[in-house]
Amino acid sequence: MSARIPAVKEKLAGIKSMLAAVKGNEGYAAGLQIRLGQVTNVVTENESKIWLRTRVGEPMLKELQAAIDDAYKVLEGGGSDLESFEAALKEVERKAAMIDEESRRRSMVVT
Amino acid sequence: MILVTGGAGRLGYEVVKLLLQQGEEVGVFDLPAVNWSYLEALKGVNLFKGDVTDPEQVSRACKGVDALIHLAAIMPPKSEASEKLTLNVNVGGTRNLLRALRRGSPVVFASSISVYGVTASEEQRIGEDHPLTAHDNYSRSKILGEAAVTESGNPYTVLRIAPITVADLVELPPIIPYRGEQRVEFIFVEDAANAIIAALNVADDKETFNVAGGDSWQMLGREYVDRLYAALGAEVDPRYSDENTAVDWYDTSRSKRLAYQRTSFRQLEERLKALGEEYGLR
Repeated sequence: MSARIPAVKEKLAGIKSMLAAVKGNEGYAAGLQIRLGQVTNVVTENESKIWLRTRVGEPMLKELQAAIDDAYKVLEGGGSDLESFEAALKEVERKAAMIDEESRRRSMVVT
Repeated sequence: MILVTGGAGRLGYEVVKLLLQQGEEVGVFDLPAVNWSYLEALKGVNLFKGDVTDPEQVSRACKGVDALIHLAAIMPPKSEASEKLTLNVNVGGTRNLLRALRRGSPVVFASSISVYGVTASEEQRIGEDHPLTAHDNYSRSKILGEAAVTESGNPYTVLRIAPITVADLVELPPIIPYRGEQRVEFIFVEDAANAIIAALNVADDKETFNVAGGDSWQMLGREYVDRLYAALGAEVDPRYSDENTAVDWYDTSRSKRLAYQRTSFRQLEERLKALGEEYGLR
């Protein structure tokens, strides 16, 4: 497993907690939590992949980590600008989808 | 124009590259949702985004086509989720293409060695005359697809292609679809593409060929996996199927005339070693 994975998962869990604590716009926050959960699933499903800890995978994981950090910062310190967070989440989802697509491409093919 | 269905896949991409190198006009027909970026980067390929189950889309793609290389198919494990969908795509789609194709146009049909069923009890290598056994949705669809092609009246070559290997870091599935002690024979993707191109030139003979790696690729499942990942420098913990599956050693003496077996397993290992170093695994 890449050394980045635990930090990525920890940050995702942190965002989830902050979204759960949002007051006044719970429905919107719940929808964002579901989307964040899908990103977490991508990370969990791919964490043991060999390619992700290579010179090809590490930069992609680094980009995902940076996008997650940016999303975290939007909510950090009690921030509740969910629209800005959603914009940041879109970038996280895009990076996660790239990792998922690369894993799919590298799945074993048998004719 | 030569139309390659399923041309956006790994094998299709290799076929398209070879055709372009030969100066052929190439069309690719594949699903809109697949990754087209590799083909788009090649330049000069006519792209048709559509579904082989849609006769109108197929008809549009087949206009002006002089020859067909039909690779598009639902493959395992996805093929086993729905018999109806698999037959619709792999058989119905083949029939749509054959109907839309100009009469007399040669067809290369990518079938699979899975049409022989589970042959683990056999001592001899499996030849083209071995009885066919529909043991799952995929093999059933390929047997029916072969029949559609051979009964179409068009010149054809049917290729029963062994499982394909690429010179890349490929992730192991949770359960490897063969036993560790089972005979397996794969084929390198570029060699399979060479066979397909050569098959186009002999379609008038209306023959069926096994396409597999050859002697250096014949080994047991465990050895195959061990050698691949040792070459890459990656530690893996493979889990194998408990039951024999439809992979074996194949008699490729008939298909030697296609002159496609250009990559020994040792040469693949060398390429994987270089890749392992590039990836920082070695």
